[in-house]
Amino acid sequence: MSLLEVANLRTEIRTPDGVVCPVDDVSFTVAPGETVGLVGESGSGKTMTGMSILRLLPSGGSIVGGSIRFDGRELAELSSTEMRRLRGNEIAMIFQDPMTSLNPTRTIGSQLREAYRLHRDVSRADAKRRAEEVLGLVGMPRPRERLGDFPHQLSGGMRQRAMIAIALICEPKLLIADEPTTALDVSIQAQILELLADLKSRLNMAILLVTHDLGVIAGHADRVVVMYAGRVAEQAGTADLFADPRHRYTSALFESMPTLEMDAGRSLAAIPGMPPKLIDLAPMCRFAPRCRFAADDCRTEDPALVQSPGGHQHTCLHPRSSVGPGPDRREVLVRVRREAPVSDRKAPLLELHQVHKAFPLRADSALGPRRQVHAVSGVSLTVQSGETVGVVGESGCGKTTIGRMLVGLDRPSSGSISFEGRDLTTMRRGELRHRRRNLQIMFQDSAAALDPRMPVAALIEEPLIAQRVGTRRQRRAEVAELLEAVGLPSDAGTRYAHEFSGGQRQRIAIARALALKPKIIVADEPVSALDVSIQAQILNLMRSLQDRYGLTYVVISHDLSLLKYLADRIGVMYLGKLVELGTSNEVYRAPRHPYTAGLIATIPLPDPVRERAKEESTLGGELPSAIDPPSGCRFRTRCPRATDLCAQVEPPLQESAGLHAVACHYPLDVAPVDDIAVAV
Amino acid sequence: MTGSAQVSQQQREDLQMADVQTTDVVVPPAMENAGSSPRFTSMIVRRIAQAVLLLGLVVVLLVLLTPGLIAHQSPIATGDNILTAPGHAHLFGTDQLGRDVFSRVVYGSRPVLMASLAGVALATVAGVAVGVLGGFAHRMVRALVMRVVDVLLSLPVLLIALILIATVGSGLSSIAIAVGIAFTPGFARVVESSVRKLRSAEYVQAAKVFGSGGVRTSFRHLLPNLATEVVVLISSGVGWAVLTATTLSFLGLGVRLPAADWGSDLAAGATNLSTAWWLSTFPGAAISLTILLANFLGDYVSAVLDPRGGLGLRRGIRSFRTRQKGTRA
Repeated sequence: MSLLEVANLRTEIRTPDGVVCPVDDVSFTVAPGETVGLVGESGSGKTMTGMSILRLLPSGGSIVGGSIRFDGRELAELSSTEMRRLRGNEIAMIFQDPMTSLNPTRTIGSQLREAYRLHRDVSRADAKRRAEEVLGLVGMPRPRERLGDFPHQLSGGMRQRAMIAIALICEPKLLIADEPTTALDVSIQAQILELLADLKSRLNMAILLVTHDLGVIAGHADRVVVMYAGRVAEQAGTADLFADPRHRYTSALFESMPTLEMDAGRSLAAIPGMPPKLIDLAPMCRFAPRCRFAADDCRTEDPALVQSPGGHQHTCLHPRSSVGPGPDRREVLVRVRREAPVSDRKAPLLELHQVHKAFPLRADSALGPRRQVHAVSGVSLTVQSGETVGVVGESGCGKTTIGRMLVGLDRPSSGSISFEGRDLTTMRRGELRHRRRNLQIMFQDSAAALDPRMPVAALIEEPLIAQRVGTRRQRRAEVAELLEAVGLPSDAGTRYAHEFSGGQRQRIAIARALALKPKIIVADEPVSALDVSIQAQILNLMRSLQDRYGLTYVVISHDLSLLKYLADRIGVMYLGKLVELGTSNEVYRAPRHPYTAGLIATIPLPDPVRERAKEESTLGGELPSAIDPPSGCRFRTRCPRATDLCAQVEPPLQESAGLHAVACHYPLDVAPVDDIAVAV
Repeated sequence: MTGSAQVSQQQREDLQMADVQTTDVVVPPAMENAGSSPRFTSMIVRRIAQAVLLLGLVVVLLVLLTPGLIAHQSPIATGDNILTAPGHAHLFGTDQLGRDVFSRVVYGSRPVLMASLAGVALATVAGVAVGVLGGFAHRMVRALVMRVVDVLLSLPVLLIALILIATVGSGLSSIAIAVGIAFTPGFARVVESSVRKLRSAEYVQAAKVFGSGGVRTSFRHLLPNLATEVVVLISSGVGWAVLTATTLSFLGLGVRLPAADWGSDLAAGATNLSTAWWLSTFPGAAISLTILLANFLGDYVSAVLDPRGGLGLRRGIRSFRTRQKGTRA
């Protein structure tokens, strides 16, 4: 007997442009105590499916077909009063962003009590007791004190714990978790996912885990429903799905993801094109236009659900067969790795020397001491011509500040940044402006980085005008060439940036960054706002442009697997310091700093077997404040190997015989802590 | 940079982390019309709005340029029929001196509209200049400029006007200048804060990275993106300016009698309100309608100017909405 039974669910939303159908004929079940992963790209209908279950559709939206049976009741037919009684009580939901889902003007305690007293007839004191108990349950330290805190006083991870506590206070039978960890850092993400798994077994609760992240699914779901364009593409047990995906979409999705193991010499198997708009779709396989295996029948008939043994279902007319090798696309796509960058110690293209950057904080009172946030504290790094250097770290580690300083948007408080031997920090403004053409940046959010009031051609032409390059006609030709180089249609120039999808906008941003033929492009989280299938397109494009124009990249990202794919060398940052620096293979295969090792261990792997075999996340705790960083080694507060020495002496970033550089007193490749402690 | 702008560095990083997968955030689509046929109703509403606006503008222009075309009687000619109720001969009735109220309302619009439009034009130029200066200048300059603006803001509009009229003398130009001075600080404030916001916008930063100079960036990126805000300011400013100008003439500081003016007519009719309701009602209604029209016009123009939701760019808006609503699930 399943707890939740969704059958042939169809949801429609009326918009001025017609009826959009984000959920179309979706069926799945959730058994008590089971975790079902609902995975798909943005626009696949996964969130709307969750919202349909709770009947929290946006205005204009309605359930037009199918049934949702929960615990023997038909949710689509309940009155709104009964539905209200159900929400939060028997079915609870946690949202992606705990900052916006918590009321900033009320304390955590009062929000918890409200959630409880809405459904239980209890006294204030009882509700308070229960609130404290639940906060303890979700691993909030000192729950009694936290009851009086406002959301902004908690860190992101703690806020998400508070959100979970609110969801769990009535002990729901089903928890719908919509991207519960997407807004969090990897180390916090691992903590929250562990917490959810732990609570699930303790409360015998079922979880519907809605996410785009296959790694999260691999580690925590029992069964997976893959959605594409409003339809269920495939449904299977987690191990089964990952080992033997049937639907061509699922397998293409797996292949398009950069993983830590993959050979960086290969290009990613990107899925071309974009998901369809969900208005007035003709009966056909919705993935067919992007599918390499699509045949004529895919374009003319609606594929039916195919049942395979073991509860494995898919809707593909030409499924990937589990026996007999299909055409292995990987072989086709092997690409000759470009020449390894000349790593002899010739003069580096870019050199950071002991760069510091502190931002003053507003003093608490007029006479109070002026405090500072030490965003970057003493980073030294060299970038050779033609290589790709990755900078990885959690939010608040200073990686974005480094990127901004490289292109001259921020000036370092001390230290120097030299480009081709000339110090940028002391350069005069006129010269700096001229030099800028060699140092370009790609921002994370291309929607914000492109002026909404300019057509695309003008956007790309702008750098050329600003630097007075060429005649008008030459610039026009240049723009056309750039559009072609980044794979945009030639008529794109007349349209505005908002008319393009996220991936296309990122292409526009790349074209603009390329316009001045820079030597270095700093890419700040180049693909983190994009869907998995689009990410691969952009990553491949970045690499092919590197070959074509001989670019040097500095890629800033929180995603180690992305950097492993894209970068030649990786620098790991922690709280304003570079803690480890080496080639991407060295850093990944043999991390020397405990932080790097922890970071690698917490990345969810899209492989259920290995993901589950992993030990508990090694990165406990949270990032300390950059206002008063810990003395000595900054990582010592979270480090399992920390000793007194770590608190007193700050370890310098240094190489040791034949090994890459690390800033740690007790790197992972030398003898265990105890011996050293004795030796010291 | 001030402290607050710099603290935001860390917040910015946090935000960027939070922005991972922004495309997945569920934005309950703001659906203007969830009615039976949204496309149809919203189109009708839009057409009606356009027609009303156009009509209003035509009326305003006619009244300003050729009032005689609409009102056939002289606004200052006295007659024997005093205080007659609205009727066939006198559409809005007559006043205590037998003057045609309709003509007075039509002619009375000219001083009010001219004074307030001139005043707002003055305030726009001065306010945008001060605001851009404040938003762009060195921290110390900005602090100084904006504190002066704050002081001016703290003075009531009427007080400024009264001081000016007391020193320069009453009359239309005094009212226009008074409105201009009174509205400048408010404009400057809004423009300054938008300029500061725009300065940290990523596309302005991107322009800095490819070497665009300050002046170029202001003209290419700041001003066009300020336009919407300024238009909204102007339109709401016109509304307020009409109110201010009529208040001043209500107090007898505007045009000299017997010339027609909404404010002074409103004041003159107030004493007879119990017996002749039409005397104050029609000038009052004219004032309200003008303010409404100004606000609607502002909304309309700002919608047209915005490429993301521009009424002038239907193709753009459609593809944008589809992406926003259709594919976000």
